[in-house]
Amino acid sequence: MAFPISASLLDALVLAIVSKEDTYGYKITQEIREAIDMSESTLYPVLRRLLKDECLESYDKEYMGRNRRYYRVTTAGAAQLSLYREEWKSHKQKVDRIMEGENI
Amino acid sequence: MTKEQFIEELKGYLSVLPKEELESAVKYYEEYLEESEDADDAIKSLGSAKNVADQILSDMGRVETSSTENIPVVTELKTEENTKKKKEKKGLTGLETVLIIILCVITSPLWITLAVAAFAIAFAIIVTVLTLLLAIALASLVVGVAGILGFVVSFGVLASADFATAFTLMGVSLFMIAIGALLAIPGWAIILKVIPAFFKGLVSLFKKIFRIK
Repeated sequence: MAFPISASLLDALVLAIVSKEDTYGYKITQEIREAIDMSESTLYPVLRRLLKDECLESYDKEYMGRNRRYYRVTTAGAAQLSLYREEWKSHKQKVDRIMEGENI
Repeated sequence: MTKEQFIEELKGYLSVLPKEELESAVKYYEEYLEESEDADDAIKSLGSAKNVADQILSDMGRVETSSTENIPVVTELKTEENTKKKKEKKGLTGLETVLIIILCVITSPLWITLAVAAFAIAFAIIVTVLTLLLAIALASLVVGVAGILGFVVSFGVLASADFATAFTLMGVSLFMIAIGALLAIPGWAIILKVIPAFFKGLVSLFKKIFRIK
């Protein structure tokens, strides 16, 4: 992809995905990779950081005889996500305005 | 590369991390490979174990970023929260320090006594060893000097024609010189080498203690 992905955009995407429903690492990776060209090894540091900042929390659940670590958005994470959503909205509008050649 | 090989390599590259972090990362990638339909494909797309480890380590700020991906660390939104947390933590450690000092003061009758006793024992041992070394050295000196004197005197006796006494004295004197020389080698060698080394050690020990404090 032509545009580099920032750490905060990854944080925002992960929070948005997990906020829909609790989910696990592999599925989050696949879902992000549908939208942006992210290497498969990028997600773990992002999850680790979000856990450390207490935006996410994890719990283990058994699935077909093996363990799956699920992630859930915390109150702090939800607040962070709504901040990211607002920022993204204004960022997108400004960029769109220029990209689509509208007169300001 | 098999799944097991990949995980082993990853463990190797992450061994610098605290146990908790290492286990968490290894567990994540074990699960990740289990979830994928084709473990071989998943390993290929993950890249090398070193690449995976580098991403984790660089995110923790332990090594310079070597990946080509551009991931600036933008955490401005959270900095306020972080500084608050740090302050709370500092307050706690301050309280802990005070508690530790109070605990030390309260228990001082116990540990001061023990410390004095330990110091006294160490001092006694050192003095004993040094005295012993000095005694050996002095004994060698005394025996040697007495031997030399006896040897000189035996010539005087020889002049008075009392051969039996003269040669006995001469023999005993030579014997004493030999004993003195034998004792002198270890005695003086130990004193000349051990005592300076001992004081050097003592000085560096004190230096260390005061630097720490």
